Amino acid sequence: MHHAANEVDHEPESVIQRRQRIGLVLLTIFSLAYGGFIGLCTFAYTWISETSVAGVPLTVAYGVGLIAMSIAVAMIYGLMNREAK
Amino acid sequence: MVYETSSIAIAVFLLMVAGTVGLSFYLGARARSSHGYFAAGGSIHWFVNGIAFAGDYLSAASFLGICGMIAFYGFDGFLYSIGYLAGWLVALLVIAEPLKRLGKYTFADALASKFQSDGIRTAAGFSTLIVSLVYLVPQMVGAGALVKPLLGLAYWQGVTLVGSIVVVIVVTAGMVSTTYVQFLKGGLLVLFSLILTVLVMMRGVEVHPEEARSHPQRITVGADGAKYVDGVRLGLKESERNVAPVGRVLEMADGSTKTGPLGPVGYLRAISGSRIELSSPAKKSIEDGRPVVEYAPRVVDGRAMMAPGNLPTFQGIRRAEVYPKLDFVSLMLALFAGTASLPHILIRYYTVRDQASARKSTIVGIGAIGFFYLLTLYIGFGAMVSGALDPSDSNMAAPLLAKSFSELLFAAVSAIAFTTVLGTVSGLIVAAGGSVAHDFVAGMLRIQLNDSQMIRVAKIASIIIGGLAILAGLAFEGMNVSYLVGWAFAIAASANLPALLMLLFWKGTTKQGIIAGVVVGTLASLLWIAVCPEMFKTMYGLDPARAWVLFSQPGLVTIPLSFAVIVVVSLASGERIEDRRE
Repeated sequence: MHHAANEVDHEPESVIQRRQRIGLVLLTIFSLAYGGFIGLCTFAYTWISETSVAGVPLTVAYGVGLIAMSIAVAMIYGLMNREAK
Repeated sequence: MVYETSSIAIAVFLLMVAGTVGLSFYLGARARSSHGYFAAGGSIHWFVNGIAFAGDYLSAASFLGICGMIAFYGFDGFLYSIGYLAGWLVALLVIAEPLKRLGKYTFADALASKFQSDGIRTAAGFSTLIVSLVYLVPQMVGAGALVKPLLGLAYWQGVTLVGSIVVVIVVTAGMVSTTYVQFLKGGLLVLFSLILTVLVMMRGVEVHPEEARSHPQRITVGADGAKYVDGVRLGLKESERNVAPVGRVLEMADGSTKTGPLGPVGYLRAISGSRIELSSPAKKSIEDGRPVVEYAPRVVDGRAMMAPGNLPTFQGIRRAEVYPKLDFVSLMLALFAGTASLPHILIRYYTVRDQASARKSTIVGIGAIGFFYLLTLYIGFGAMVSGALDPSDSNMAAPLLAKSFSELLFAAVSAIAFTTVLGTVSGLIVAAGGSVAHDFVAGMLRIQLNDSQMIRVAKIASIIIGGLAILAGLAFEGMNVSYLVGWAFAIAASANLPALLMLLFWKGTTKQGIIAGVVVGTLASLLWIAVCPEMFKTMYGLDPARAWVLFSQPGLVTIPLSFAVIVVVSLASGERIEDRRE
């Protein structure tokens, strides 16, 4: 499982910047979803507590959805950068 | 509640500890260079490092704390799961690769890299030490609370035992052994959580109204100093009485008494449609000069337990006042921004070969950690209706749920819970010890050290930090572990994240701006915590209304403050990053 040495890839600045842009776009999208959830729990408490999705309270569905979204965003980022390389 | 000492639990526990220490000795002996000791020679495979991220990150607060919170207060515990995981996207999307590209051993390396500044190195080393120490406090408090029921040890003995074992691990080991211990621990934690979740779903939901309690349980202390439950001496003998467990379904929405095995959605629906018997939080009073603790039965609606605001510290979101709501928002912001600023997480990026490995290991980490947090929902709600909850200790919810299935599972889950504490504490001490050697001794004091001297300094620092952690764990006994974790995240997010982000994304950033941002972020968040309502109530025994600030979680104020300080100081001073490029 061990590799030979500790290395730093000397990637072109354009590749680094492209990756940073992808990262920022994905982070912005996720932040909006996360912020929306916190906002609803805090300022629309009654509505989010009483609404259901497929018989499951929206709070739980949204929370589970955020965890699933985290994993999905991570995988998308990995795939996009594999293609870029 | 008094727990029967389980010989299987002790045997499995000793086996796990012996295995951990043995692995540390074996692999530690192979790390002779400082690069090997501090960064595993950059030789760890990205998949191993990704699971080790989970081992480092999933602390006692994550496993025992969250499951316990969900078991007693429902959805609020899951809010912590969501916040803890969300922060990993910040780590992946903006921090992981630049940190690996710019640094070598510590977080300070990366921050100081563009200016080659000892000032930045010192400030970042200072924040690393503060964050590590503050984050060590809840780990040690959790350790003391955990060992007490599992091994029958006193709180102080539990804290001292954990602190001592961890110091032995760190001093004999290095990042290679720490990584493999974290890899095993992370893997076992996810595996056994999955086993527990499958068992919960296979059991489904059963109605047991006949076991419901109608009156509170009163724990008193007699003239002989012994504890009594409803007037009968507390204990496990026939003439004695134990605290009765709580957590059972009284009625289901469709009137059935047993669901049989359920799927993930069906299980949540069944809980949502149930009426459940739980226990109210401990009501403490003094009668005839002696302490009395009362646990009153509480019947709750499953649906209401899937709404936020049941946890005492989150009840503010149901109120009309703004400040309690801001306290909640501030905590969730700190969890989001703090993960990517924790020193023991950041140094793990130096153990892999390159930026691509850093990225891939973070993705594996997010997968493992995210999957685990999904499982906490089922373990927590499963414990809520298991009929096995200890009303006096929410941290025991997951181990007791395991015990309701089998003694062996209880032993395994308890031993894994204990190693979660060992793993996180050792990661923090390694990070802090490395920071002392690199950032303070070699960086600030400019003392030239060879490899073996560097490792020796780090080991001596680790022993001192381990000692401080034990003392802090003793001083903060009884403090809310989740609150302490929230504070550690807030300090990390205020001190480290703004500086790192501004360095990466704003060319106008200056050396002075970064130093000011790190120092102000650290001190402002510490000061805020020192004068907040929670500290007034819990530590000072004063009226929280007299606190100097209006809510207890500092992140909402101190994170933007740190950004603002970096911008203002950078605009008013020195050489910018863009100037250096010209």
